[in-house]
Amino acid sequence: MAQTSQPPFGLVHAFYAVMGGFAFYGPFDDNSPTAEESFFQISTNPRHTVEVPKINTLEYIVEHFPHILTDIPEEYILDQAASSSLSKALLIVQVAWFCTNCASRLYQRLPLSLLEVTTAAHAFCTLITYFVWWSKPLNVVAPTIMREKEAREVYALLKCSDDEYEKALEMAQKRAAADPPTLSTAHGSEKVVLAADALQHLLPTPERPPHSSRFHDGGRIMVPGIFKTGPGRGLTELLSVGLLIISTMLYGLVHFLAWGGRIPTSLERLLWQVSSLVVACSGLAEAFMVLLGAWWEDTISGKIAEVFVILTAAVVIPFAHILASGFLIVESFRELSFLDSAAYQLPSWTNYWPHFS
Amino acid sequence: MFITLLAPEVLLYLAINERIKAGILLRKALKFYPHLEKPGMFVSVCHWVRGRVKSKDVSAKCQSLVIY
Repeated sequence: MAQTSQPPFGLVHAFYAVMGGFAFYGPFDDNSPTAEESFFQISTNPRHTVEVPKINTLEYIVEHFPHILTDIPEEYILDQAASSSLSKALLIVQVAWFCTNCASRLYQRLPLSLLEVTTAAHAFCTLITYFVWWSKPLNVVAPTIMREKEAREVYALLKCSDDEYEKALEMAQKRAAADPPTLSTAHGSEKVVLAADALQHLLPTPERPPHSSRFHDGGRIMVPGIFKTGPGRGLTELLSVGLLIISTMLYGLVHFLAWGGRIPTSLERLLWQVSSLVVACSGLAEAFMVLLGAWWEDTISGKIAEVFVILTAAVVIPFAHILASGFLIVESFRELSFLDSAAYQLPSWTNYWPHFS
Repeated sequence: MFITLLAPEVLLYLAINERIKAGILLRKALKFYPHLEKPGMFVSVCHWVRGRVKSKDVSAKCQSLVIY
């Protein structure tokens, strides 16, 4: 059979895997399954667990057993998603119309209300989010449970402890050497036998699964959303910090459009300016504290420094950000009572852009 | 939904983070199994056109333009 007959692995599969779309199912938390329980049986036994692999485990799977993910076709994944490309495109056209409307108001020197500025900031972030999430299957209610034999073998391998892994490896090597297996289901755990089946595909130099925790904690699963982001590794961590700066700055900078706008009182103007600055720079401050914390960890072992960094990064900056964001939203609604007549004028040409109004 | 309304920058941050992770996973898969690569839109169109040209539904007269 030609290799190209295997279904392709694209961004849809990758997004689906990262968002927790692929899940394993089985009773591997219990090392002594009862005789009537088969590992290949679709069961509703409450002892069976559904577990979602973490990113490091997914990397291991795509490196060694990609077929268990690609066996589920892309059409199946997209069929579960609640949004289509058409609905996304319609929303983008509408949001783009609003952004163009704001830009043309500025060009024609018509005033922008604070509500328009706040909405523009939301629209701008939404546009980028939609672009980034174009291939992501949205609103999938439940993960896809992988119950096929090969998936269960991989699940058994991932659930193995160090001792069980050694036993499984020994069994796989003996099978490959055509020796009669010394370990069988009667003497060893069925998990080991399944793990040995999986390892047989990786011989002669099988790679051990990642040592760190391999599955998401059940309480943290946010399907159909996203997992809480944990600390990354190396370049990923740096990228994550950079993204934090960029995303808050993008959102905050749009509010600067009303820097010299018609705000009812001078105090409110000052508060708007300060709030815009706080929102724009909070990501930068958070990143600075994270880096400072990492630097202090290496140089000073003082508890005071650690408490200061944690308190600032986890309490002060997020609280200031929420407070400033809240003020920007409330003030944008409050200003509606003080709008002048020019705010109701429409720029002439945006009426020709197809949109809902 | 609430995140979108109150803090779109957080959603943007999470979205880009997730896209990076998906990209890493995709790159890793294609590094070891390049034949799993999904063809892009342009290549798909080319394959479709080539398939139509070689199909039995197309007359030999039309096929000759491509073959020769």
